[in-house]
Amino acid sequence: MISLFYNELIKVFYKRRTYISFILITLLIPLIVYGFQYGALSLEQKLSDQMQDIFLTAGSAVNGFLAAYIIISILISQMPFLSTIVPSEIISGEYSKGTFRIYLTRPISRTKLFISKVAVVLLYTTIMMLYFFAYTIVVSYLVLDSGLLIVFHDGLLALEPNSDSVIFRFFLGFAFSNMIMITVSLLCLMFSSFSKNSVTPIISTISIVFIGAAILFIPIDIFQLVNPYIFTGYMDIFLKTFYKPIPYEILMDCFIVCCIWSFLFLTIAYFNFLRRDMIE
Amino acid sequence: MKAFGKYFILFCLIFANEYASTKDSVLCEYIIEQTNINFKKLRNYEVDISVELDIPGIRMPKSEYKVSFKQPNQIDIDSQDFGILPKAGLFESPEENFNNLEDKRIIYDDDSLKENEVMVEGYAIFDSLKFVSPNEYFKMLEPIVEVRVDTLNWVVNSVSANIERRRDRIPLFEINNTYKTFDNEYVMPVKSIAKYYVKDKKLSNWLNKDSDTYLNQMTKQNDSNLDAIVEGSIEVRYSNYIINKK
Repeated sequence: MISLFYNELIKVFYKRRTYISFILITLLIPLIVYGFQYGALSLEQKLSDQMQDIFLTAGSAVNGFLAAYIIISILISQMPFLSTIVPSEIISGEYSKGTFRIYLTRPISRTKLFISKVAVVLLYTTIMMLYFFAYTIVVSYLVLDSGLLIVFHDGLLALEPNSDSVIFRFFLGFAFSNMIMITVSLLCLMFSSFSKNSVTPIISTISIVFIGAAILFIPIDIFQLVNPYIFTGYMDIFLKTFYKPIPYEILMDCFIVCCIWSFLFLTIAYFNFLRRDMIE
Repeated sequence: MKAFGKYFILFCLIFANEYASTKDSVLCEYIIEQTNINFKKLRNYEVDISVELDIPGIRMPKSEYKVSFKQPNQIDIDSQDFGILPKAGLFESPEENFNNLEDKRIIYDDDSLKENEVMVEGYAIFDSLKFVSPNEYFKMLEPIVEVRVDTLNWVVNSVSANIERRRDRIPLFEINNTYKTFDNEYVMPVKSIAKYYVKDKKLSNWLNKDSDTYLNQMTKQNDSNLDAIVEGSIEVRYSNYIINKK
């Protein structure tokens, strides 16, 4: 089992596309952070303008934590694209290249092979998300230093780095955003188990995420009714981890919904993988 | 003869009224002048302040700043972190408090007046107040501003703004100062509490001036509507004054 997992890891490591997301994150984040350092005047002005009628503002709201918070909350909506890179071809790629024909002539169980592929998908998604979060926070902190994190929740909320556990909130944000990205990855894996090429699973997954986003943002009663039951309804869960108090009940809902959908996608993918004719 | 008596009494009443209002205006000018003279004794000062906010829509930890003041109105706030301070009442010259008032008069018969305290009352244009109008209709109103002056030390004890209704007054804001004498000469604030009476809505909405229900609340005849307006306060504590040392 471990050797199968290792085998899958080697395959993923040797593919150039695996590194696309990491390269993109590595190049993009410093650019945005430096943008904050040299061009955040309008952002500060906007914040001050909102309050200038009644308050004097002092100091700067722009710091590493605010930059990291804004960057993550904006880019998190793009992460489903990146999280489909590996799962999209992890099964379909082997169909299309015909490697399954050789691979499955060996006396290995399909279940074990499937589990090893799922483990790689989970690992890739988690490492990518961890890298995205950690790299953004570290770069922002190094360039802009720390300070009060100003967010909007029931008005203006200033979170103190120590007493309001800002780092813990980022970690919580990572944990729950990662759950959603894992669900997206497993959805892609499911499509990958049906497909013979790696483009179709990406397009199908992104289409579903897009529809989910539409349901999330279009204020129609029926959409708002179904929204809590679909995993895309929690795409903005990262922002909620910065609420005060932290809405643990929403986080729990997110966890349950993601688990149910992930289980469903895995089950479909698993049975499809077992039944699929590898020599067709 | 009777007619002459009537005219005489009428003349006396008009004269007394005129005399009283002239006396009021002279007294007002005197009070304003004295507080200004006292304020202008301060060429410059530095002070450490700590600000604690309890305002609906703004949740911030207690923050500390170093403030430098230089006459006439140069304020420099030094802070490591982002912070907000009330605009009205702090580091303001008494002249600013009084200049925007029209029809100034002195209130003598207020039970809440302390010893050595006088109250100057007048109407202010909404825009002249450092207070955000919840909507455009508010700007058409003329709030009544009360300024209480300590006539012993010639400092402003409190400033409050209200909107007058037929039966009562709706508070807008109130600033109360506590003073202490420094260097045996300068009477400076050691604590200021600014209270804002706002509708408990999300700040973003409130500041976007879209809380139209605010006016509805105000114009309703039911007095319970005042419950809908909640109080927010900002407490400022001053310490480590360095006065006229530069």
